[in-house]
Amino acid sequence: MFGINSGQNVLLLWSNPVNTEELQTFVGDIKSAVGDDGRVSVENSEMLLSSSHQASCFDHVLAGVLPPFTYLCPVDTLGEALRVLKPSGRLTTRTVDATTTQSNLKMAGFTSVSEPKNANLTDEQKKDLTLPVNEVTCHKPSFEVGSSVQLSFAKAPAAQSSNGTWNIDLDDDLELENPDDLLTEEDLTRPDPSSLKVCGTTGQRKACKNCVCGLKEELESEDVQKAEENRKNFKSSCGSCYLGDAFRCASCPYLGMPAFKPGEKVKLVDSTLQDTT
Amino acid sequence: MDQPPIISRSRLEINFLRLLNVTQQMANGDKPKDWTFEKWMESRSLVILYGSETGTAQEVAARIGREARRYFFMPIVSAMNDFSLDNLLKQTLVVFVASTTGQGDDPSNMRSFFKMMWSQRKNKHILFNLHFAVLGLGDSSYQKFNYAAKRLNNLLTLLGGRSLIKLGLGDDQHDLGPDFVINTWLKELWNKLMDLYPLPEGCKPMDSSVIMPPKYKAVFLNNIESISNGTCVEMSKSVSDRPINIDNAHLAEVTMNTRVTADDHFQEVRLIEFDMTHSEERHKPGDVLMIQPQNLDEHVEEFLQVLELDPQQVFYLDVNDPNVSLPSLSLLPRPCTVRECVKNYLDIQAMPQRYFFELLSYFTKDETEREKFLEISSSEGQQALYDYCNRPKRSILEVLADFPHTRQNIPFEYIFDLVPSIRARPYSIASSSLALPKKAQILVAVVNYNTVLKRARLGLCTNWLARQRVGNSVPVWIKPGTLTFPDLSNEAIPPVVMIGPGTGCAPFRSYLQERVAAGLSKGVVMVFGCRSSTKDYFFKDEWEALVNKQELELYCAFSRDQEEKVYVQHIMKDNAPYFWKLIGEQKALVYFAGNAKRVPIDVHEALTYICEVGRGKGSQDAEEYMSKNLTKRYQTETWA
Repeated sequence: MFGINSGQNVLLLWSNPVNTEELQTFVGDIKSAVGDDGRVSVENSEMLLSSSHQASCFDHVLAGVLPPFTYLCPVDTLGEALRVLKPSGRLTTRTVDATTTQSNLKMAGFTSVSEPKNANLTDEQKKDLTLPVNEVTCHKPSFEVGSSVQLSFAKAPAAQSSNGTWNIDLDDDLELENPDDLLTEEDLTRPDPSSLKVCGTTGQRKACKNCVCGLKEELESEDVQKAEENRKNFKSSCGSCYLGDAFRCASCPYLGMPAFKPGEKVKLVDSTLQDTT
Repeated sequence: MDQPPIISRSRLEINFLRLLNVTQQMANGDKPKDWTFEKWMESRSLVILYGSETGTAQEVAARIGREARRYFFMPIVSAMNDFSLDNLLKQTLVVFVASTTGQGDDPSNMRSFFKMMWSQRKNKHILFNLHFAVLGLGDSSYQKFNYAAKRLNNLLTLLGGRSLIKLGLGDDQHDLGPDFVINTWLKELWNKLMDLYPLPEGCKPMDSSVIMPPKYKAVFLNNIESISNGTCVEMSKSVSDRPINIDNAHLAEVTMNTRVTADDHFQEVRLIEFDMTHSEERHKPGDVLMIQPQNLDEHVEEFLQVLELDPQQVFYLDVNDPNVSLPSLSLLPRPCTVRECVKNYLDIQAMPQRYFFELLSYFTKDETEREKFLEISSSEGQQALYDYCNRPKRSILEVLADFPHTRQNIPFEYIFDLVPSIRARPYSIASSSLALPKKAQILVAVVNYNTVLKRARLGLCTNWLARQRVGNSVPVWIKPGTLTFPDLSNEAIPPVVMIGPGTGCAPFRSYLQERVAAGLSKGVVMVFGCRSSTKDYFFKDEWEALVNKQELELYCAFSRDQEEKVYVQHIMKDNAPYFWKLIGEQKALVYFAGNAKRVPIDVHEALTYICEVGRGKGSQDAEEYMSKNLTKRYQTETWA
């Protein structure tokens, strides 16, 4: 379907209004098409710009391929779709307004924007439609700003005598006036800010080694209600609290305080929990 | 886990000791007695060249040298400028560590080296005999991210050198700092080097269970009279023309230290004035005052207690690792007391890195603590390291206090491997030496914020400065900044537009004062921004007086004085036609100083808008004008 192959990375963009059941079935279909080695990401078109996906990671983007086909992706969203597509990656969209869609795609930077084709809709999908729906496909250009390019001035060493000191090479095919001329396209780029984050920093929920307060089990079963309860009835008997932040669990009321000295009476400054030390 | 057989472990240790013995003998200038081992080691020399502005790249280079020994390489660590071309051409294996400083510039101790290599650029085979690898240290919040390392890497390739592994780009903006890239890059490097320069049969790289000897040896003096080796060095009171660093520092007395933000304002900003009589040069606008801070007394006491150190003990250091130099005598006199060392030299407020935890694992007898150290220093433990240290900004002092079974087992010498030395901090000088001779003023925003830790995070230098009373002396030295202002002797100076929100106005106040003192104040336009005209408008009286005398054109944005936020870029855009007249028609010089991240981008955008309004040919044309025409006249100085 849509020319999707196994092992590919597909991004599905949907917009309101949408039939959630239909969306789920559709996602299931794509998942089977890409198989275990592939991946399907589902995103609301309006959220794409703020999601900061990595550049050049998707093989195929499907935009607005579910009824009612009336949503027109704005150029900046299409530009973002272009960015997250791999070079030569493909985008497919279905729309009631093919002319505007084609023009938007071209403005966003897509190449090989196809002529509107008949979208092979099922009878279910054709229900309630008043205008004809067309399918348009296009590609991301195959070159990429910032991709690695063999340095044109990296030459294989010639078989020369070992004191290659003052040989002036006369075939100067590279004009270098300024040290900054040494920099390639890739050198001028900066890293993607999302690549600078340590993964999973949002979850600070860790149980300590000898957890008796139930956080360990709760994390394993991800029970939110239980978590709240445990937090309310906190009684430390795991014995890890006095060791310092490196050993404390995520629900420890002593987080942020230094390790206790032996025999120290510790007051919890602003808490309604029982002080058990 | 199986214990390694006892025999092979002791053989490793014997080899290690031989190596250490040879190294020490060489350091003492003795000829090593074991010729075969020596000859073999010579074939495995690894040169490590660094370009370092504040000492960070130098430390990384020394670290690479120490790691190299585990793989039986003989490291030679040197600044790039100290290594001649002839010497370089004799080498087959060189590792480069290059920071980027200022506005994408090479550090000073690398500039002449690069110039020399650059002059050879027509010779594409001159380095054909060289295997090299480059590690860069930079900050991706700057446009010219790691440009020094990138240029160097490409130049070495151009000259025929063969790159061992891909250029490493250490980044301050990563959650785990440059260490993240450095660790991975080094692993790759050693793997590649073990392929290319394999060890002989039966010889393996030294196990990580064998601890590296410390950088320094400490010699304790029990009797003050028995000082024969070291001399007590007093901080020099005068400046001579040596390199611009801590060795050039002199003591400057504090003559004023006042809070300039309203008492009920959330941020404490202070105007601090120093007596610069002992400085031989007169500072220029744009110059920076380097300040060497010390630890706060309460932190010193805590550290001494936590490690159970005798504060009165007198000692001096000798070098153990020949690739490391002794600390500057201005920072750590020889000899000195333990208390002086903790107060003036050891940066106990710094955040520990991965290597810190790796080292601690050798010193503890407690299994729980040891496990934790190994976990945090492992490559899988990066999340743990980040959560425990980087995110809450936990200090070395706080970490040591958390591990009672380890901290009292740390051998004294290893403290210098665990704790970095205190770095000097730069502050733009906010006064003119013409208007206020023999004095220098700086504007300091005291750093005080909270993370999850119960104790507030205090900036080392700002808090130490805030506590200095009039009459106290502080080690300082002058350094040129990155902003250059036009010479006052030049008759036809174009208008000067200076955009300096918050403490960014410091260098501009210096320049303004200089112009006024010279009677040349016409043509200076200042754009200032702060939160409120009553709370943090630092130089309100001074500047409004100048405005009344028509000696200054001033535009102010007070972001919180009305419901909608008004920033410097809004003021500029609101007056676009006038600013175009200055910038486009009168070719004004434009300056921006302030906080990095968002503001420089907003200001750049406002300038582009002004060009668009003035030229009336659309945004594309305005951007072209900006990059072709205005860039030459636009200077920025940003800080994190």
